[in-house]
Amino acid sequence: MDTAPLLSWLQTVSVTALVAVGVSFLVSSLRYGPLLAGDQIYAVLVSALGDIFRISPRRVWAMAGLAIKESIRKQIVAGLVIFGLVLSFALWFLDSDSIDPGALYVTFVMNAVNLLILLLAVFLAAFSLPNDLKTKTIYTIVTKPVRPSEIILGRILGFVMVCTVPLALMGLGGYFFVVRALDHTHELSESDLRPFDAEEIAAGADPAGKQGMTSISRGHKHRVLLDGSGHGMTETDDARITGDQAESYLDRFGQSHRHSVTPRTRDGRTEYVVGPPEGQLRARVPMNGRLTFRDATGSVNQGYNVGNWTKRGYVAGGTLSTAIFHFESLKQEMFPDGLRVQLNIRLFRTTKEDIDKPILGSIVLRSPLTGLATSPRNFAAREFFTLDYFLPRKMTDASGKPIDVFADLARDGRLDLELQCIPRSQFFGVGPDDVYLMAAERRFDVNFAKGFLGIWLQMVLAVTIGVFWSTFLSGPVAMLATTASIVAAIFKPYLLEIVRGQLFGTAIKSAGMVEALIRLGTQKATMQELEAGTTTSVVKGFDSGLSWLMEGLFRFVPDFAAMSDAARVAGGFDIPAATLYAHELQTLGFALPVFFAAFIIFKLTEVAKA
Amino acid sequence: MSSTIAPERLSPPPLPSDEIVMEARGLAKVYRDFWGRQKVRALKGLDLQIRRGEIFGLLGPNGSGKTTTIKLMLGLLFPTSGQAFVLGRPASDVTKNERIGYLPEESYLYKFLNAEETLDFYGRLFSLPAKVRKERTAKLLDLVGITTARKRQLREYSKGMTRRIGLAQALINDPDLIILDEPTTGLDPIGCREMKDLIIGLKRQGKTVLMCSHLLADVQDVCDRIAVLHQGELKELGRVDALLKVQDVTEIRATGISEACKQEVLSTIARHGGQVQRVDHPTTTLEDLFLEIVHDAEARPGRRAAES
Repeated sequence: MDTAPLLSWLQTVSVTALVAVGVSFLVSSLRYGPLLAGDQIYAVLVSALGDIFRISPRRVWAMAGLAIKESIRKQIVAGLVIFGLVLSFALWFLDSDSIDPGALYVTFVMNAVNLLILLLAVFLAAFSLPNDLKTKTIYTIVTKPVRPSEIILGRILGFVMVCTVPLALMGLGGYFFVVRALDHTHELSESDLRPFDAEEIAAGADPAGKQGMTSISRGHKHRVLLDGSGHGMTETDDARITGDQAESYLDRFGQSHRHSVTPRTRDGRTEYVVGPPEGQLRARVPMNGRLTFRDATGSVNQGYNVGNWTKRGYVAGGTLSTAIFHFESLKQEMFPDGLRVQLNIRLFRTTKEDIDKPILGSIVLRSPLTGLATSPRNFAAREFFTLDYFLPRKMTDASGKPIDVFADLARDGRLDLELQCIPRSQFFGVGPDDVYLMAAERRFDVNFAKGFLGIWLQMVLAVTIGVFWSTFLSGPVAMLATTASIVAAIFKPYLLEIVRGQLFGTAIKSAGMVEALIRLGTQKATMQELEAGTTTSVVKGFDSGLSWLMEGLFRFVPDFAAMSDAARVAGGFDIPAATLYAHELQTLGFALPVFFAAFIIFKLTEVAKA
Repeated sequence: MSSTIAPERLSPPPLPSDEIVMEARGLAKVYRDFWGRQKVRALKGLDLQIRRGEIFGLLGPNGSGKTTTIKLMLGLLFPTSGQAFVLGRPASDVTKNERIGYLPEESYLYKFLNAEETLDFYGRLFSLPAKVRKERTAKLLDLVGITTARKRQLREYSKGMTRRIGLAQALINDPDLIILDEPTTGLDPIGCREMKDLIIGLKRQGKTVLMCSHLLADVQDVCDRIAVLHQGELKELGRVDALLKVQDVTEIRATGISEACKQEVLSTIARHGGQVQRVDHPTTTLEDLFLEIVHDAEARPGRRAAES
């Protein structure tokens, strides 16, 4: 287990707590003297612990119930529903003929709902407590035996519940929208079909069967293969069969689909009914391996850099250059028949040719234990398409001797998959996530729900942050502060790049604030070094100090981008349990200290101070 | 409002005990602005003790520190110096609130709740079981006379009704100590009288009441002891009857005496060296007149007054 985030969390929380106590002591000492100040801080801490450990669920529930009633009676949620309806008109402008409408719709629905629910959370949480202080209704609350911790927790809980209902409704609505919007069929008539020719029959096609193309619908058509009775399936958009290898191309995000075809006789004529799309929305469970490269001479490198800014390494064609994926803990039960591999390979061509023409590559499976390897198998890689490739369990080695993948190669659970590019002067580009084994296929609806769990957790954090700001800021200011926190959370990776000076990658450090100002004034480009001297060192020192401070501040900002799984769900990948745990841990790690801070601040607030 | 109180008036009120339920020791409050500069010294070293079972009145003009005292006692404000104890606990301890009922200056209640929900909500904050909450809600709504409006949201309530529901929420936990900030503001004369009767009724149940008001008549009618504050300082403290009694003046009230009898009494006083200050017919108070008219109107509806 990686303990670095936990250590960083502990460090942040304890340093913040110490600084808070230190500053309180200083302020208090100035007014009352050090002895009394120490007494006061001790008393506050002891009573704060009491407030935490003696929380009464009944009172928290009463406060939560109040928050729910307030939201309903003040019709805040109704406003959101109207806003949501207006937003849903945006759907008219989504391109249903796009290469991958499924991913487009899922991304749109999840991101729109995410934004809406965060907006609702901000509005609810930021205004409630300041409103209570303004209308003085808080007087009748704090003069009852309610602890400050219960007031804060009750608020958070209440608003979380208020937001959960529209979130669930929008999730459900979104799911049905996606499913319905993707639903389509094609037409197929007798005139679209022809019998197989002799060559195809020789290659294994059914002599009584037929083949043909469907009509175009939603910007695509399918090839159809029917058996003698007229039943069959369409192929995926771009399917082709090459020999005994069941190799098919999925479209860009692997969201390809098929339709079933059934014959029907009406008035003595045969009609074909094309069924609904199947396998359009998926939740694939990929098994990733560690990626290393060997260069043209066979020694280890990072992969070739073909010049464009990318996280991928490139393999040079027609040489010893290889990309190797090292898989571990492979189990026979997971792949009883053989390995299904999906490859997303980028192509880099150094010769002028047809851009759609596939480039040949080869796959070899090797045992890292014994070095035993299968004979190379060829595949054709196409840019922007996912190649679904099946490697059977029984294969042969280079000398034609049979090999069993599990019994001979992956005896200790380890297996290396080696990729080479065959034609000279062409390159294959792969990153760590581009080639994976298909371990399983899960339900899309469950995965969609898991994606919404991530949104829900973001909402919980947004509510907590909103309540925190509202304990000491007025409503509008609290809302601004909450919005700013959430924007920072959504764009945290990007903002961190700016703060760290990594806007142009790690190789060149982009300028800090003052340096950028000087460069603007003197019209010096980033690549130009500033003149060495005292001024430059002072400026750079100031900038790095500022950068250090900002980076420290970002420790207090959760990473909503990491908690958003829209791209993964839309890409047709299952959200692993470990990712969900990580989201939950992040939520807890932020929500708990923020709640504690909010409650301490509220405890130290004179509620009747005019 | 008065129906359930009436029988209790028959029994003599229990005498205040020596147990102290509220205490201020050198309590002072300075309001400061954002920069910590002193704005107002609202309270200057107040020492005060309130005993169990008494009705204690805090009197003073606007801005004299009455409400500040109450807020410090409740822990709504933190003292600049000095200490406040309520029911033997420091004012900052929330557990003291278990046995306190508080009616703020204006009834700061959630306007989106109706009367029943309001009382139920505050009952929950005392962790009262559902059955008890239901019983108390019904009883208190009846006591303050808003049973018919119990399903209406408080935003539709008049000021007097809001005051009444405010009082009901202060009594939801059957408190030992009731703190009333200007209890009669916003009430019509009938409401005022009922409120006063209710306060006396609470005393008869052995409860302690601290009220503050600038309406002297109210305080005089119900309070056992008063403290007079002015500009944050305690100016007078003592029993109401003792403070108001004019020791060297005697008042005689009589009915059915003749003019001759009156002359005889006057001459007797003169003979004994006394000095007659005033002889006339007493006037009733406007409050009494108003109550009489209203009661009369309820008994004989439809009659209109002619100018007399």
